[in-house]
Amino acid sequence: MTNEIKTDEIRDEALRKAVASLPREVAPERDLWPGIATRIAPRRHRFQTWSIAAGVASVVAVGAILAALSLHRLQAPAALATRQPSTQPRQVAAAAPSPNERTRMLAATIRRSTRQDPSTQTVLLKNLDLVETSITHIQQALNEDPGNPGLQPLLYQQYRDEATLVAAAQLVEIQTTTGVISP
Amino acid sequence: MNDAVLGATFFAMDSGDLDHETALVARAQAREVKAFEALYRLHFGRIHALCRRLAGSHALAEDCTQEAFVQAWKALPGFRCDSAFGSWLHRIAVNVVIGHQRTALRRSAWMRDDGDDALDSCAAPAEGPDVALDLDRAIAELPPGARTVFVLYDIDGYKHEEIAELTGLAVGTCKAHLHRARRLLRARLTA
Repeated sequence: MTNEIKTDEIRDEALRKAVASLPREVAPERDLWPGIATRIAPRRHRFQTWSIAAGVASVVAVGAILAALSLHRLQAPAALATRQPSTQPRQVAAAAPSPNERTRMLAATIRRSTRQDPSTQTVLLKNLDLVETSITHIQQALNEDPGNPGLQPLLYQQYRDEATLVAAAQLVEIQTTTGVISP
Repeated sequence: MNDAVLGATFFAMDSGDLDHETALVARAQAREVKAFEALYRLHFGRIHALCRRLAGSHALAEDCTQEAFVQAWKALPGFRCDSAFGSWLHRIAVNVVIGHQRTALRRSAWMRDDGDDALDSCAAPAEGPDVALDLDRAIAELPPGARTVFVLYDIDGYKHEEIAELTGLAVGTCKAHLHRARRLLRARLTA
């Protein structure tokens, strides 16, 4: 019994020493200050609910329009492919709304929304260009192989990316007009 | 182990440092972000060490450290300098981590106030004779309830009554958690 108590005391002493030797400071793996600074940064203007609501409504509206266009364009090639599998691929493209017209409309929307933030505008327009190029390539592939199950989801994803770019531009507009950094 | 208040040494500062810190606190209370950043640079190591040991994971510890400073910034205008800024910040950090643990409690009832039964239901830490002793790692492997009480009591010097108030546990349960934590750590020390 006495030996057990002695053993416990020795172990307690070892634990006490180990605790006392623990480092009092441990640095995080990354600098946490930038995140804190962002969260405590003062807002530039008063919160304008009406402006946020208007911005969100316009984002939703643009998103809905793009989604409708996407569905229409997805259904058109599929319907034509069912009727005329691979003999007249040019008609598939002709059935869809003009890509150039839509691209111009989207670019104009982005330019208008980001006119006070040229660097963001450049990035968004470059991304739009990439997305449009992808759409063109996917559509060409779809014309050549209408039954390919992997292409239509890919095309749909590109349309979603388009909507995201427009939504990002709209958010930039909200931020520049209201001063709210993270609505 | 003696019931020594180890944490009392944590915020020991000489008078020059204290004056400097008091000035920074006053400027931060006047909403000067640069002053608050200086306070962050002074204290983030200690606060992160606390969060790291209480939370048991790097990712959660970083989130809690960040959250503690954000909450401190918000509460700073109400800070009356009755205690050292470091102690006040320390308590905010403890509350933040325990808040996270309470959220986890809703999913897994690890911190039930039902005495030793709760301890018995906790997962045992990974043990093995080849594992070199790394006390911080051993603490991280403790069951959450035992870890919380051990860190607050044996490392940061809180009293059982204070831990009970912070965690919502009964004092007896805190003592049981501490007993279990020490037993598990002793086993690791001598493994």
